[in-house]
Amino acid sequence: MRGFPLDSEHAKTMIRQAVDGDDAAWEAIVSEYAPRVHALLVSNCHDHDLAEEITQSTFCTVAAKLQSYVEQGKFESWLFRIAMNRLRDEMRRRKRQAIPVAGEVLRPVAKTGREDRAPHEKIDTDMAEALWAAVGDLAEADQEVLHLRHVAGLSFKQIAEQLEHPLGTVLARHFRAIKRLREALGDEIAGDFASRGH
Amino acid sequence: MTKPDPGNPDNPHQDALDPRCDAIDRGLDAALNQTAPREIPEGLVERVAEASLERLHAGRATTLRFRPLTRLAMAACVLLAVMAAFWIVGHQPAPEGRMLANSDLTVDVTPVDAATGNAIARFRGLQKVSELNYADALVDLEDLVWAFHHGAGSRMVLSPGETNMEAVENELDSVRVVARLDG
Repeated sequence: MRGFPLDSEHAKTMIRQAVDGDDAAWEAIVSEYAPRVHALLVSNCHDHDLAEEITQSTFCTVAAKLQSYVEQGKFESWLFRIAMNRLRDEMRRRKRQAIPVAGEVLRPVAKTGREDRAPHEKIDTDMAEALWAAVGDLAEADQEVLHLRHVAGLSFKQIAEQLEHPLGTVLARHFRAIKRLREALGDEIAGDFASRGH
Repeated sequence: MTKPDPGNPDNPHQDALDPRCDAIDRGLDAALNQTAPREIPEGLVERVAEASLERLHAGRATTLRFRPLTRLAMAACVLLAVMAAFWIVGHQPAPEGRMLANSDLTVDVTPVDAATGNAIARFRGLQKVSELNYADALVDLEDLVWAFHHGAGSRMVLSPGETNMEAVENELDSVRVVARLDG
């Protein structure tokens, strides 16, 4: 089963414990969020090595600044924002240096799930690949909201905090992204996914 | 129009979608949730935890080391500021002190020669003229006219070489000056 986000209060407690010297609490935080941060980065850059590098760097930054963060709340938004900013910086740097990116690196990562994930009884791997390939063809803004929601596992409220948009705007963006995905798939296929997804 | 789900905003599984979403939109959303790529490299969590724990320990150590030092430094700054304020107030001369200091001042008076003394006397006379007002000058003039009328002209006390008429003209001049000054 997908590891679900710690609820806000639980997360706050864990962070406080980590700040107070509880290493196990910090490991639990890493265990909860690192896979999500990594997955979000991979879905954006399609490069596992870069995603891991940035995931490590993000958690190192967060760990170093955790003392000053504690009272501010919104841990998830803070964490994912750092990760995405790092990724954007790196992508810009690579663009400036004009390093050619291997085709393999750019292929959509849409296969398999974690071992602890629910087996896709209704949607097989090929279908999942097709679905996420269609997501990959959407506009960047549409992809962003779908990645944050489904890959990073953020709630709309957390997405709103991260993007610094009102909640209503995020809901509308998600709605538009779903509509465009539906258009891209065609009504028949979208209906098929929907029936299997329920 | 579909009503939004009463979801938990912190939990994406139960998040309420936009109310315009229909059944197919919701199904697609659920399908995306089920199939989202979350493949992670083997040992990622352990590597990240190990690297970040070092930073966490360093951060704690820094905080523990600097927190008391920072407080001490701030307290020292405040103390220094208070002492400086007291020192400045204590060293500022009071108004009485300034008056006493002024009373101790001496002035050297240089004696002046006769010519300068006459010039000063004349200047004082002019100053008095300028200080005259029309009413005073008029009274003086009336007194003078009265004295002439009563035969006192020959017994007037005049400056050396000054005739009666000159004295009268001088008085009239002073009246004119005052009249001009009074507007």
